Amino acid sequence: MTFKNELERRTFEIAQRVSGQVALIEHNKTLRIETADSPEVASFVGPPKKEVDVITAGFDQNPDVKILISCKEYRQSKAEPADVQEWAAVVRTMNQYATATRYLGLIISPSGFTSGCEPWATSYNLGVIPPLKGKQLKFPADTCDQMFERVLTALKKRLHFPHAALFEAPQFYEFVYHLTEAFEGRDQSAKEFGERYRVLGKGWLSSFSELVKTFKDQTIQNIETTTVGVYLSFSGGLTFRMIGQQIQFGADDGRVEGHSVGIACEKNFHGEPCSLEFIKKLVVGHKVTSAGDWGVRFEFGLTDDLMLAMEPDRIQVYRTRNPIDQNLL
Amino acid sequence: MSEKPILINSKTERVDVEALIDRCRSDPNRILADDEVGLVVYVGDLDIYSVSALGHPATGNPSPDPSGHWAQKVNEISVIRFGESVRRQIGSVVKTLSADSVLLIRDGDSLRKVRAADLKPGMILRSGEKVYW
Repeated sequence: MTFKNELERRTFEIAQRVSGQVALIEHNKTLRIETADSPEVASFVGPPKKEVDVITAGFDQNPDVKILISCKEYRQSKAEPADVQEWAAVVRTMNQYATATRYLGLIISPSGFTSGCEPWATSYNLGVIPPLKGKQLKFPADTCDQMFERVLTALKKRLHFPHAALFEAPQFYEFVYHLTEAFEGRDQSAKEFGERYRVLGKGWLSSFSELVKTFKDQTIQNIETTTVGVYLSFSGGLTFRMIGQQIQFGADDGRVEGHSVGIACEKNFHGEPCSLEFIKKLVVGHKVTSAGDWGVRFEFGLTDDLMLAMEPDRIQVYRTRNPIDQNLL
Repeated sequence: MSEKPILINSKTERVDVEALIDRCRSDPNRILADDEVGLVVYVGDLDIYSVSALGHPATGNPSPDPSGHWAQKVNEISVIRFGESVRRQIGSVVKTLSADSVLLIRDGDSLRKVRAADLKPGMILRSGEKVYW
């Protein structure tokens, strides 16, 4: 099988992965009328026939619905309204002459779309990847691949329910938009936090705000320190782990890697030595009220004005109540 | 899109979002996506509406209801894991919006798109509702 470019190859592989053998790729395809006794060319623009490159994805449980995918790899320039209009003509023609099959159209252009494409895409009910939404119109190729896979997988599930509305403009455009709009935030978070936060189990990238939402009002139940990192157990079956520079959190799978080891434990703001047991006695049973990430150092604000700070090789506890010298631990 | 939508059914009874999502999880086909990016659940056939203070989604017309609310049919519920949220008073209602949601505002004789994060006091939405803060 030959591909005209990398985008086409990747898109086809994803379509095959989601749709199985129902995915097809055709180059220089001439549109033909499905109902004709003998093959007849469907003329829809200018010359009597139109040749297009198309990836078709279908679904076993809904053989009457197919999605026609156009891959635009322009590298520097963006897809223009003419590209959208062309694909609208292809999809409209296919639907016009189809008997039982209904077609939805999707255009993938990793370099983005000019803003003039949106009215055409909405009025012709074409999905566009990446979404036309605002600041970031251009996305990395792998993000576009993930968007496409997410849309195709979701559409496969969506077709288990009544779906006639998807064929009414701009329902399919909006369906694709809702499934792809959040990638911008994910990529922005990856840029901002890098590998700092990961959700346990799934291994998903996460963010400071999600961590705070997870632990707010949860109670610290235990602290363990090992050669691998600092492990905190929380109510709600949650765990917080500082492994080097990375913070892993989520549902507690009970795994504690490495062997138990003592690390530097300090109390009060100026860092006087203390034991881990001393820190545990103070913080266990307290709820998280706030959190702060200072790069290497992560802090949980707890009830009773306590602050529990962690670094890969140090734990510190202090009280923020004023005056400081009269509230030492 | 509101991060914390107010959902009702056709009897105008309040619907708890978390309970609705839990109910939907029993049918894996309803979970259109559940990944690093977030959760998208199909509820189009479950008689769910969201209450909005904004104009009609298609026409932008203000609501005929004196309360100024439209009840819009909800097809999908999205829980975005990486969306920042902003609080804005639009018309008579304070809403939590995802920072990158796109709204149409009046700009002279034309309409202009702005992100929720860029809404400024005094802007007038297509629906005629004013942004107070």
